[in-house]
Amino acid sequence: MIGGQAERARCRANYSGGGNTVMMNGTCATASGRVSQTARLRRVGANTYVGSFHNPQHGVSGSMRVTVNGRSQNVQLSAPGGSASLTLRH
Amino acid sequence: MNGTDGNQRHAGPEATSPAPLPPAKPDDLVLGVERTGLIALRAPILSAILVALLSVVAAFGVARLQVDDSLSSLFRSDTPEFRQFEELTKRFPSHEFDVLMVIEGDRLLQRGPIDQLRDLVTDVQLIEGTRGILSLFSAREAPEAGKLPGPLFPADLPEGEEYDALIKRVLANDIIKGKFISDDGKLVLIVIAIDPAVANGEGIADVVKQIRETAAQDLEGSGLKAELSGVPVMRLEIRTAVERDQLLYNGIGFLAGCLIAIIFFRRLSFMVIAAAPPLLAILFAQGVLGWMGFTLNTFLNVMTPLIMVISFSDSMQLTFAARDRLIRGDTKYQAFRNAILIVGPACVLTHATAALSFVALLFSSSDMIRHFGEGGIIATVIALFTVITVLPVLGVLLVRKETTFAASMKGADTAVDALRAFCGWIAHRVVSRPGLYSAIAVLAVLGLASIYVGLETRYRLADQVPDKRQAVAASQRLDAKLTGSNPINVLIELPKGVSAYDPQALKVLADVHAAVEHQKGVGNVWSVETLRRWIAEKLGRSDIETLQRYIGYLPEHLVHRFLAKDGAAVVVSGYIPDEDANELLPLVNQLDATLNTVREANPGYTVAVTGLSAVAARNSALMIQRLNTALTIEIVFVAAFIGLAFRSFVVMLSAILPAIIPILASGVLLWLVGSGLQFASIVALTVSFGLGLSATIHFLNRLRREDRPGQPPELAVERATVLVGPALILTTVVLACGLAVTVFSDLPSLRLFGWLSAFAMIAALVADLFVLRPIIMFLLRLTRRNRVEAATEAEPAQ
Repeated sequence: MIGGQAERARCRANYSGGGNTVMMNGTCATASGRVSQTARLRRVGANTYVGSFHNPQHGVSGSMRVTVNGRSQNVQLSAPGGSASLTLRH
Repeated sequence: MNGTDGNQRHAGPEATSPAPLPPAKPDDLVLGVERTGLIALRAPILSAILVALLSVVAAFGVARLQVDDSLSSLFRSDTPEFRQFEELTKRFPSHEFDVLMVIEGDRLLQRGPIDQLRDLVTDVQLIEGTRGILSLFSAREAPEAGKLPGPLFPADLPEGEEYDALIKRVLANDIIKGKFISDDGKLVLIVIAIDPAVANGEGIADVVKQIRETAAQDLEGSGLKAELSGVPVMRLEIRTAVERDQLLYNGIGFLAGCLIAIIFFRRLSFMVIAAAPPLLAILFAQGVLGWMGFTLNTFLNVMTPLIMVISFSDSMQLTFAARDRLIRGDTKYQAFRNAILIVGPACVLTHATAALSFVALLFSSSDMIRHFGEGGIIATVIALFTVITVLPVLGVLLVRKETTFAASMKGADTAVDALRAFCGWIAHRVVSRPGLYSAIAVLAVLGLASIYVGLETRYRLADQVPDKRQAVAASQRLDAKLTGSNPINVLIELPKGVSAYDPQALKVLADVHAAVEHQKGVGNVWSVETLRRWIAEKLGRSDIETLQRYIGYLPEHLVHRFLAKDGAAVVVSGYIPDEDANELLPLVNQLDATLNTVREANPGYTVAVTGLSAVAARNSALMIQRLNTALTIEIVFVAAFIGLAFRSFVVMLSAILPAIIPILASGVLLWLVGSGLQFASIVALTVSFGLGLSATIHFLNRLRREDRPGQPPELAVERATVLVGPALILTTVVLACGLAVTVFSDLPSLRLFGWLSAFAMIAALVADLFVLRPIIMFLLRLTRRNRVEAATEAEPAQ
């Protein structure tokens, strides 16, 4: 987060669309702030989606990979400024 | 006053079968307007079908009624103060869309509860409809060299002595102490910014529900209690209370009326004849208001009991009159036709008087009160034509076997006869000593008036919001522990072309910020200056570039609390407690005066103290006083109006004291309970005045018909009292019940309106029986004695 220190974060992602193309609206929050981003993903495997994300608040864009395992999903984000890995549960 | 009608009835109950009555003669008291009620009587079945169809249309209109739950609408007016307030909310809408979460607990600063609290703050930001959050967790540490400041609370909370040291730093942090955490560390404030589109729409109820559920879930087992307040929550609570009150008043008021009617009339058909027209009047009036785009607010919400009481009063008088005629042998057509001709003029005059009461409100500078006046006039006119048209139609369609009914009632109408005997007894007593009773009335008025003129005005925000819900309770905790829950703002509009980062602009901001901080009674002061000082203290930097850079790091919703999007204005925000406007006005004026030095040193900058608290403090007293003055003037106009209608100076004079007494008595009651004169009480007095005149007008109308040449006026007064008294007493009981049901409301202002109006109605009945009759008796004797003396003097001259 701002300042470089680690903070505990929680995220929520909403998916819409269907078939091979999915749109995602996601928010990640810590106790001191939040960031929202959108993403456009395409299906590349039985339970894998890849695509790009954009964060308008900080003007950051990058790539995204989502792997679905039952009721949980692993989300990997990569941008020039850094990377993130999240596990979300439904 | 001379006049005749077909009613030969004498004072007191009849022991033997009374003779049939001749048909009533129409008169021109109200230019024949009452005879519009006879049109529907020519085709009752067709009229009933038309009424049914109109009911359906009206029902759709009712469904269109919206609720105005805005807290500032009471003060909406075309004044410089309100325009400035609107400018503030347009440029800095933040406070309107902030939900304030107040969390309290003795163990709040312990490690476990703090961790749970942090999770809550995180989870609330994930609720759709929220835009951001400010809390003690937003605070930052002083940054290390070359680095940006990190959060005050580390990701993993330390333990033992390290944790205690952290808490000491938290309690000493300049940004949050006294603002987001109380000095004793047992209360924290979390400010949740809501998306304006959600806050203004239907979605707010769901967002508030999710916030409450998240708080309950995340704080379970922590020993912490969470309550919500803030403008969106207050608006939601007002909306819920108003919608609930609508159903409550319709239900309970109607049931009370039906019950009383059935006890006295002893036939279901008469209960329906008396109760249905007022119910339809409510439906039609609200339907029309809905189709015209009116919105329900705190005052328009009382339209239902008002229409009910006006219409029920007239409905009962008409039903009583028709019932009497049926017992005396009229057919049902004759009975209801005669009732319209005899009582109808008083119904028209009563509604006209009530409409005049609403006209007085049209001169208020408050949009909400003017709106109420407009709605009241429309509803009153609709109620009149509904009652005089629908009642006779129902009468001829529902009354069956009138000869059987007449036979069964003769000599067995116990309840009504008892009321008549009581009315006859009162009338006999007061007309025997009219001078004495009149003198007592004048002295009473003088005594009551001396207290009434000393009534102080009162306004508090908490009185406009449901007080049995969370918002007020939470606000009171903030008032007690964090210097206040009501925002007060100083809006600084910059000269054209000057940036908010201009050195002079920053100096003006610093001076204003200091003035607000030092103002006694104002706490929790925020502005861009707060950040500038923090940077200067912690980083040792005072340059504008650093300030701009740090502002760039902040979330947009936070920046736009203090810096307008167009950069042409900045605001300094503080909080004050929710106290009476009379207590806050000196504070607002003092702050305003202090800022004069800044204004004089910086011409071209507009510096204005504004915000809902400031607008209320400045305008509430003035608006209440204006309404009070309008009421005084109204009494004179209405008395003149009645005198004009009856074409009698005696009537005009006699109408004044019975009209004033309920108002003065209610005012003294307010003084006794320490309530003062609030918006709700002045509206109650203004409208109750119109309602109280219903009793006076119905009596005067009957007196006009009973007064016969050559007979002493005492007989006419007694006869008229016996004829209209029972209906007046019953309707007063119904009026008081119908209005008193508002004590179930969660809205303090509505409760005040309810019990005060109920009291005023009873005071009006007492004044009608014990003041109007002796005064008119006294004046009639005086004028007739003078006339006889003048005639005697003229005779010898001839």
